[in-house]
Amino acid sequence: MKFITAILFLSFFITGVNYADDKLLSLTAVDRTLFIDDKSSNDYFLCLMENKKVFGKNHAKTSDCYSLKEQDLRNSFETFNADSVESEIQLGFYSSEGKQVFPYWEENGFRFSIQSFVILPNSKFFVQAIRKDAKQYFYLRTSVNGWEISK
Amino acid sequence: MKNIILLILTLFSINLFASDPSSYKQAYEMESLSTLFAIPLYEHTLHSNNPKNLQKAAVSRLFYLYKKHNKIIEALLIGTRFSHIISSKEKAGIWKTLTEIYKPVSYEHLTSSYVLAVKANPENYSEILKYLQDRREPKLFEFVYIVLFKRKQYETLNKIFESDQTLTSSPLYEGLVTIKVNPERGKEYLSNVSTEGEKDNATKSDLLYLLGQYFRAIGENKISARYFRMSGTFLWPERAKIESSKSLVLSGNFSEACQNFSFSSSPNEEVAQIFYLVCEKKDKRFLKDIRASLKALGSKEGGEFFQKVNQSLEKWDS
Repeated sequence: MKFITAILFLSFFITGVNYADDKLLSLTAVDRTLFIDDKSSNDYFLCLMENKKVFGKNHAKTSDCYSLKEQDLRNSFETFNADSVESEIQLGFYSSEGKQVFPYWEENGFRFSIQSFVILPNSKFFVQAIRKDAKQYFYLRTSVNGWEISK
Repeated sequence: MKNIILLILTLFSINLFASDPSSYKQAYEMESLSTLFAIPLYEHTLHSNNPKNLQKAAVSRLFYLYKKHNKIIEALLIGTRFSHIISSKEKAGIWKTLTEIYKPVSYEHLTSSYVLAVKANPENYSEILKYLQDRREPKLFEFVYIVLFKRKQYETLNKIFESDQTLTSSPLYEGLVTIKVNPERGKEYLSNVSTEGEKDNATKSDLLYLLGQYFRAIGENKISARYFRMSGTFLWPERAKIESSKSLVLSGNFSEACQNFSFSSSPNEEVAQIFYLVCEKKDKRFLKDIRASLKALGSKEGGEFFQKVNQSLEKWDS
């Protein structure tokens, strides 16, 4: 917990942007590799979500999905980001059968499961994640760079 | 003896109902169902233009119910406002409780600061400011802050902070008031505080809580729900859960609040009790019976949450 706190609050000050939430928390400076434990599908997809639930457990809008095999995450993020969003959108991960999966990254021995990525109308990019062992929730500013899926 | 008192009370109440069946009666009947949810109905009675005997009865019941539900500052304020109705002995009991809560602040300091706090307004706050500056007691500041906040003296508090930012080391107090008075200035304040040195977990939790309040104030309830929830990652998970859930309700996501969190019975706190009744007990009947109280709560300042609850319950019924 101490380490995570330190990581989050050491690197959260972004200069030049006069917004409290920008200054509070950020993951932009760190690369992260995501793992998917679910092995039921040959391919997984990054999809636009139905925007029903705030904390990211939603069905996929299957017409707006990108294969993780065929396209790297950054390009997929940028495709969504390039569309000028009029209201918040969320992106999540799904199997070929449409089952939602929650990739995780590891940091200092802890697992952080991604619930969703959130894009706000001003192109701000966030990730919602949960550290399950401690039931801790994070909503962190991030960027489209630095995220990749472990092959 | 008990029966005689009961008879007198009943006769007294019958007499009152005759003069205002729609207000006092409703509150009085609600008491048999829920003393907590009778409070907003008695408050409503007090604000209506009622005969003196009805006002007096409502004040007495409210004072008793505030005490019963641990709403001590409310009891203190109503005891001051209607000092001719609430006896000195009753008021002394409240001060005894407050002296316990705000230890080590002395009785003398509490009462003196209270006298100044109840008369303070945006044009007249120098005395209470000086009193706080002379004492520099964190617990005394907390007491005065709560009294002024409950009196909705946000502008007065704002001016006090503008005059002296060193009265408290926690950003919570100034942040809350600044967001209330002017959300954009509140965000600026948060932005400045965020860059000042290393933070302990309590401060991180408070800053994220304030961000939640800021986004709620500008109507971004989904974002607000997320910051509130994250505040609980660092400290005070109960506060985080309730506020996050409130923001979910305000954003039209009541069911998600029930799916994400569990709620226990909170007999002294209306918001938490509503979540318990809706999410855990699923007591439709009871919720229908307290609808008038929810409506009264919805008409108060900051009552948007209760208005949303009422709308959701109407959909639930149909």
